[in-house]
Amino acid sequence: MNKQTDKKRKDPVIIVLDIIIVGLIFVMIYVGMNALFYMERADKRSFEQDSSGMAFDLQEENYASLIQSRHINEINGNTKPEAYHLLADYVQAAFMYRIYDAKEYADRAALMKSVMDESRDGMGELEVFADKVDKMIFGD
Amino acid sequence: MKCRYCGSNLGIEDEYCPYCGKVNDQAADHQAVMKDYLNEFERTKTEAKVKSITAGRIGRLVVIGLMLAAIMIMGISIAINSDVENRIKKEEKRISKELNKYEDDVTATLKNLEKDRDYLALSYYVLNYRLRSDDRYDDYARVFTAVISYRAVFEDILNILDGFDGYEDKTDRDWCYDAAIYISDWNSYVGGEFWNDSPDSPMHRGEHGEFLKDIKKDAQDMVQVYFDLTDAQATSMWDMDRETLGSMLYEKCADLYPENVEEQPDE
Repeated sequence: MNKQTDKKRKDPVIIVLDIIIVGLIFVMIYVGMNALFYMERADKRSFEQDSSGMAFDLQEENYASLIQSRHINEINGNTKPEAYHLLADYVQAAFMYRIYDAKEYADRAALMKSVMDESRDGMGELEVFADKVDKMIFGD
Repeated sequence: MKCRYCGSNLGIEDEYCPYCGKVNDQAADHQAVMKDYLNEFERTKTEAKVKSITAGRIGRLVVIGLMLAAIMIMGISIAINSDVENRIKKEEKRISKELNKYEDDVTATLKNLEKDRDYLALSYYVLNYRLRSDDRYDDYARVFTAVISYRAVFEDILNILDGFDGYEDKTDRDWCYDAAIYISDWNSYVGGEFWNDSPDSPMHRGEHGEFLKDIKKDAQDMVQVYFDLTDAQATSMWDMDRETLGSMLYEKCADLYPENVEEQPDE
C-alpha cells in the first residue's frame, strides 16, 4: 500500500511547475486575445467599420457615423455590411430629399427618391430603421 | 530440493528451511545471484525515476520558458500596435504608398466627385486618403475645406435630428453653435480671405470656382430647410458672427425640434 502511494506521489517541484503552466495558459489566453485585438485594429483603417461597428452606430442612433463608415468602406472596397450600407444610403438620400423637395429642385428630389426606394428594397430587417428615419426627417 | 538437516521439501527461493529453520546452503549461489539482480533492478529503477523526474522538470521548464517567450512577444506586439502615434504613422505610410501607386486613379476620382457635386463622398475621400495635407492636391485646398465644412454642418444637423449626443455629451445647443462656426468661417477659410488668396488663384478658378459657388448655395439650402430660415436669413447667415448665428440657429432648433432640446440636461 505504502509502496503504491510512494509510486503515485509526484515530485513537488513538478506539481509547482504544473501549477505555473496552468496559470501561464490563462495569462497567454488573455494576452493573446489582446494582442489579436490590437493587431486587427492596427491593420484596419481608422474610419473603416464592419457590421458590428455599424450595428453599434445604429444602436447609438449615430447616423452621421453610419454614413461616414458607409463611404469609407466603399472607398476601400469593403461591401460586406451591405444592409447597413443601404440604410446609410437611405438616411443620406432622405436627408437630401427633404432639402430638394422644399426648394422644389424636382430632378434632384426625384433622384433621391429613387435612391431611397432602391435602398429600402434591399435592407431586409433594417427596414424598421428606415421607418424611424422617415419620422426623424419628415416628421409624423 | 530437500533440507539436508530435516529432509523437508525446499524451494529454490527459500533462504532458510521453513520446518527446521536451518540455512538452505544449497540455494545460496542462486540467492546471491538473485540479490544482485534485485539490487541492480532497484538501482536501475531509482536511476530511471531520477532521470524521469529530471526530464519532467526540464520539459516543464522548457514549456514555461516558451510560454513566457510567447507572452513577451505578444506583449511587445500589444505595445507596438496599441501605440496611437505608431498606428497613425503606420497608416500614413500605407496611405502614402497607395497614393503613390494609384495617383492617377485618385486624381480621376477626385475630378469625378467634384464634377458630380458629390460633397459628402468627396469629403470622405479626402478623409480616407488624408488628401488635405498632400502637396500634390494644393489646387484643391479650398474645395477640400468646403466639403469638410459642408459635411460638418450636415453632421451637426443630423445629430440634432437623431438626438445623438456625441461622446462628449453634446447638446443641441452645441451642435447649433458648431454649425455656426463653419458657416461664419466659410468666407474666410473657403473664400480664401484668411489665406489672402488672389482672385485668380488656381484654387478658385475654373471647375473649382464653379464648385465653390454650388456648394455654398447647397449648404445654404441645407441650413435654410432644416432650420426653417427665411430667404433673407439664409443669405445673410454667411456674414453673421458665430455668436449671433449660433443663437439664431439654436432658437430655431428649440422651436423645430423641442423633443430633443428638452432632453438636454443643461437647458
